[in-house]
Amino acid sequence: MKKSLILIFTILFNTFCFSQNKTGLIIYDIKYPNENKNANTVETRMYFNDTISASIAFSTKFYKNTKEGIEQDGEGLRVNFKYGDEKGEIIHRNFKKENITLRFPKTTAFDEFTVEDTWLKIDWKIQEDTTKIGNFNCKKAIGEFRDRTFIVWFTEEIPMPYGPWKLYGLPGLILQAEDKEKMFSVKFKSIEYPTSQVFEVNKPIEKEAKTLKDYVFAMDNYQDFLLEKLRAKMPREMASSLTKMPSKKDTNRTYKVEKIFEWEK
Amino acid sequence: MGKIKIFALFIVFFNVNAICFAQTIIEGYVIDAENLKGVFASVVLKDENGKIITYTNTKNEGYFELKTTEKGVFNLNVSSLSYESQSKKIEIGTSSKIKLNFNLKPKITELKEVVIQSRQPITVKKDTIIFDAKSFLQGNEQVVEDLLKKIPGLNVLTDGTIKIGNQEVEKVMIDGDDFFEKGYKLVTKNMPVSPIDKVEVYQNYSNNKHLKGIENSEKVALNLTLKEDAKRIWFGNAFGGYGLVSDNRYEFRANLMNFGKKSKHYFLTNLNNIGIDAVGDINHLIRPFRYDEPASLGDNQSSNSLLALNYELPNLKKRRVNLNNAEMLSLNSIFTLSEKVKLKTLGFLNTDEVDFFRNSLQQFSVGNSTFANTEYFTGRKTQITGFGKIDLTYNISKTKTFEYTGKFNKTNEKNSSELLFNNDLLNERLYANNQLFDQKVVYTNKFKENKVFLLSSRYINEKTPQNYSVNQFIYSDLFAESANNTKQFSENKMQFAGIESHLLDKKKNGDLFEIKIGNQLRIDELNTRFELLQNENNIAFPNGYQNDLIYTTNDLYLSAKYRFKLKNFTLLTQADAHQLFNQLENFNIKTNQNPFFIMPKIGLDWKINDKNKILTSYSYNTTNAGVLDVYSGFVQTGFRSFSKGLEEFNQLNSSSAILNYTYGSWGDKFFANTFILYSKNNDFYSTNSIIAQNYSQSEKIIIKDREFLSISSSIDRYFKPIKSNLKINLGATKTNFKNIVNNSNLREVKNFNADYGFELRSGFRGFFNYHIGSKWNYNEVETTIKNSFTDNMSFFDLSFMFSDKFNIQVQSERYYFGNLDNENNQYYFLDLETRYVVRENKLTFFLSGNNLFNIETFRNYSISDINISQTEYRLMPRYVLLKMEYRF
Repeated sequence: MKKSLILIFTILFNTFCFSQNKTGLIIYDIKYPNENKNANTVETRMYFNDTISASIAFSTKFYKNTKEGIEQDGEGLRVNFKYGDEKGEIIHRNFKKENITLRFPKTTAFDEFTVEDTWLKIDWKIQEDTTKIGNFNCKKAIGEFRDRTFIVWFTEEIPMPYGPWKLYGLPGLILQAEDKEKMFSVKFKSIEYPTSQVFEVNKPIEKEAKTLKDYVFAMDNYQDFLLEKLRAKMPREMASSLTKMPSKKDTNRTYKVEKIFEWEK
Repeated sequence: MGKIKIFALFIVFFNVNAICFAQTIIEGYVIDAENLKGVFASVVLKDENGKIITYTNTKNEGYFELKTTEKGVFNLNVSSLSYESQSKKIEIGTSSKIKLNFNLKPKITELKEVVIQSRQPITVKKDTIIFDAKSFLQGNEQVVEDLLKKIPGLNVLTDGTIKIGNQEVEKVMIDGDDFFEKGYKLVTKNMPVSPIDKVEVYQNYSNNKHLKGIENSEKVALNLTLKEDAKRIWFGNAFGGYGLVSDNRYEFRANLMNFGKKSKHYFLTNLNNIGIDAVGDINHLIRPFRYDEPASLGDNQSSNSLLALNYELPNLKKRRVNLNNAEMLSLNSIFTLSEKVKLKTLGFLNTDEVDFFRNSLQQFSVGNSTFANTEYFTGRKTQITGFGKIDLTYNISKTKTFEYTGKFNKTNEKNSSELLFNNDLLNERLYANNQLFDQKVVYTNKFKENKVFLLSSRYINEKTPQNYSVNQFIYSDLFAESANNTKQFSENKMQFAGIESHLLDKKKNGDLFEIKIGNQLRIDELNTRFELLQNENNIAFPNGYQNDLIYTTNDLYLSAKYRFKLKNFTLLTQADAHQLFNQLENFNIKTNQNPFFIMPKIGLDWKINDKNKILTSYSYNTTNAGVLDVYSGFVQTGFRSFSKGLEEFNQLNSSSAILNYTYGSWGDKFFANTFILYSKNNDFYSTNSIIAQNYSQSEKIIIKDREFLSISSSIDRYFKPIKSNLKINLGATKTNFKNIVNNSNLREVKNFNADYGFELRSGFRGFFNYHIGSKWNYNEVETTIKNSFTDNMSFFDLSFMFSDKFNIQVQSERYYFGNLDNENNQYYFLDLETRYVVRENKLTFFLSGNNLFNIETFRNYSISDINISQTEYRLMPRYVLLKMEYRF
C-alpha cells in the first residue's frame, strides 16, 4: 500500500513547480575577442532564479551615463558605447524548457531583434585542478563550444549549472573562463543572493526575430551592413574622400567567440 | 494490487532508455521535503576521493538520470541553492539500474562576495581617458589617423573628421601644444604614428583651462603624447601634380614637421592654379570668430571697405570659377621657454592673381523709366598678404594665467579692369591695402573652486586705404563740369579699445550665473575725396561728395546671464544694459548722443524624450549705427554707384524668435529637423535711390517694419530594400521691406524664396555606389510688378572601388535656368578622379580631370527689386592633372 501510494504521488505530481523563487545577481567582467588586443571589457550582470538565468550587458538602466568612452567604476573599468538601450543585450536561458533566447539592442545597422539559439550541451571534462576564487573553492573544467576550447573554473559551493555568456551545464556556477587562445575571458566580480533587484523572467520579445543562421550572417557581414547605412547618409562633399573598401572579412571568425556553427561542420 | 504492479512496471519501462552493456542507470527524484514539489538541483556522482565521475541536473518534477560504466562505491551528491545538500552512498555493481530519491530540506542561503579586478592598459581619470598606444598598435598603421581609428570610442570619418559620439574634437594637441585648432587634420593626416606614446581624450573640454567644469562645455579634445626618444625628427609629405593635355595647370603641396620638447615646428606650402583656395582653411586662424566664448572681446570688430570692383561669382563650386594662380607658405612654431611660459608663432604669406571675365545684360525697370545696360568686363586682382601671430602664455600659478596675443596683417591689393559699358570703354584701377595691428591680453583667475574671474583687454588698429580711378567720365547728368576722368580716395581707419571683466559662478545644482562688465571704445575715421579731372588736372572736388568724419562710439555695458538647469529643461535668461556715448564730428562740427537701452533674451531647451527635442529663444536687440551708416558725403563705390549714409545717430530695434525642433538623431532610420526663424526689425536701414542709366545714387534712410521669416526642414529616411538613404530638404524665406526709388513713394518690396530638393544616396556593399540629387530654387520679387524664376541644379555621382588600391570617382552636374533662352539655359559638367596606391601610405598616384565637357562660359539669371540681369561668366577650362603624393 505504501509503495503504491508513493507511486501514485510521483505520477500525480506532474506539474513542475519550483519552490523558493528567489532572485540572485552575479556580475562578471567579460572581454570579447577583438582586433585591439586590450579593448572591450564589458560588465555583464547575470540575474538568475531557480530555473532561469538572464545575462544582461549594455543596459542603460545600470549605467546612467552612456557617453561613448570608458569610465571608471569603483576600481574596475566600464566601457560605455553608444550601443545599448534600457533592455540591453540579453542572453536568456530557461533550464526547464531548455531554450536560449538572445536579444540585441538597436545599432546603426540593425533595429532591435531576438534570436532563438540552439540549446547545445557542452561536453565538459572536469579536471583535478583546484583553486580559490574569492572565498569559493573552484574546480577546473575544459569544454568545447562552437569550435572554441574554453577553460573554466566552477564552484560546487554554488550548485547551479549557470555560467557567463553561453557557458553552462557544470555541477556548479562558473566563475572564471578563458579560451585557449586567450581571446575571450571572463572574470567573476560579485555575487548577491538573494537580491532585491527584479528581472524579467519571460524570454525577450522584439518586433524582429532573426533565425540563428540569419544572425550569424549579419554578424559576419556587420561592417558591410554598417557601411551601407552610413554611406547612404553622408553629404555629397564626402564622395571624393571615400577611397577605402570595407576591410577584409573575418571569414575564419578569428575575432568572434563562436567560430563554427552546428550546420557548418 | 495487480493493477498497481502493472502500472508500476509500465512506468519503469516508460522511463527506460536504450540499455548499453554494463552501463548502470542511476535515476530518481529530488523533491522539496516540505511541499513535495520537484526541485531544480545539481546531481553529481563522485568517487570516494571526490573526483567527479558524471553529473546532471534534475528535469521535470525533479527527475534526474545519470549513466555510468564505472563500478564501485560512490557518493551521489544532490545540491541546490536554498536547500541543504544531501549525499547518499551507492554501490554500483551488477544491477543495471539504481533508484534513489532525495527529499531536500529548504535552507536560507545567502551569498555576497565581491572580487577586485586587475588593471587594464586604459587609465581613466575624471574627464580624461588615457590609451597606451603600444597596446592598440598592430603594426600596419602609418599616420596618426590610422591609430585613432583603433581606439575604442573614437570615430574617424572618411574625410578625417574625428568625433567622439556626435561631438567633433576641438583640437588635436601634441604634447600639450596646439597649432591649428580645428585645422587638426593637417596633423592627423600627415604625422607618423611611431613617435606616439599615449592618446589622451579630454571630455567636457574648455579652451580656457580655468573654465573647465564651470562653463557648460560639451567640447572634446585629443592630446598625443610623444615618446622621449622619438622627438626631434623631421617628417612630412609632398604632393605634386601637373597638367597633361591642358595648358600649364599645376598643383603642389608639402608639409614638414618636427616636434621636440622645447620647440615644435610645422611648415606647409601650397601652390596651385586650379582654383583651390588654400587660404580659406587658414582663415579661421587669422580671424577666428568664437561665438559665446568667454574673452572673445573684439572678435566682431573689423574695418570696412567701401570701394570694390564687381567680382561677383556664380554659385558653382569654387574651383570652377576661381581662375587663380596662388602661392601660400605658412611657418608655425611653438617654443616652450620655461615651465610656466610658452610662445607660439604663426607666419603666413600668400600671393594670388585672380582673373575675372564677365558679360552682362541688365534690364532696369524703375517707376516709369526702363533702360538696359550691357557690360563686358575683364578684370584681374593681384594681392599679396603677410600675416603674423604671436601668442604668449604665462601661467603665474595654478589658478592664474596671463595670455597675450598679437596679430599683424598687411595686404596689398591691386585690381584693374577693362570694361565696355554700353558704348564707353572704361579702365578701372583700384588699389586697396589693409594694415591690421591687433593686441589682446587676457588674465584669468580661478579664485574659488567653481568661480572664475576673467579680465580681458584688446586694442585693434586697422587701416584700409583705397584708391580708385576710372578713365572715363560718364556722369554728365550729375555734374556740370566737363571732365574726362574721376578719382576716388577713401581712407577708413578703425581703432578699437576694449576692456571687459567677466565673472562665472557655477552653483552646486548645476545652474550657471554669469556677469560681464565692460567698456568698448571704437573710433572710425572716414576720409573720402572724390575729384573730377580733365586729363591730369583737377577740375573740382564736388560738394556733397566728400567726407571728413570721425565717429566715436563708447559702449559701457553690463550683461547678466542665468542658466537654470532643471530636469529636462534648460532655461536661459539674459539681460544686457548698454550706455552709449556717441560723437559724430563731421567737417569739424560735433554732435553728441548718449542713448541707454536694455536688451533682454530668453531661451528654453526642452528635451521631451530621447527622440524629440525643442530649442526656442526670443531676443530683443538694439543695434547702434556704424560708421558706414552715418557718413554724409556720397562715395563712389563702383563705376556707376554712389552711396551715402544717414548723417545722424541711430539705434535700431529688432526682435527675433527662433524655434528648432528635432526628431530622432543622425543615425536613426528616420530623422527630421525643422527650423523656424522669425525676425522683425522695428526700424531698419533702407535706401532712397536715384537710378539712371549711367549712375545710381543711394542714400540710407530709416524705415519701419521689416519682417523676415525663414522655415527650413530636412528629413532623412533610410530605405532598406534599396539600401539607400533619402534626404528631402524644404525651405522657404519671405522678406518684406520698403524703399524709395527715383522719388517714388515708399514702396513695398516682397521677396519670396523657396528651395525644395531631394538626395538619394546608396550604401551598397559592393564596388559600386551612387549619389543622385536635385534641387529646385524658386525666386520671386514683387514691387509694383512681379518677377520670378525657377532654377534647378541636379547631380549624379558614381563611385567605383576596384580594390583597396584603386578607385574611381565620377561627378556630374546639370544646371537649368528657367528664364534664359533655350539655347543657353542648360549646363552640364563632368569631373573625374582616379586614385592608385603604389605603396600604402608612402606613394600614391592620382589622375584627375575637371570640366571634361569643357564648358567655357556659364550664364545665369537673377532678379532684384530694380532690375533683371543675365550674366555670363568664364569658367576654369578643362584640365587633366597627373598627381603624385609621397610621404616621408
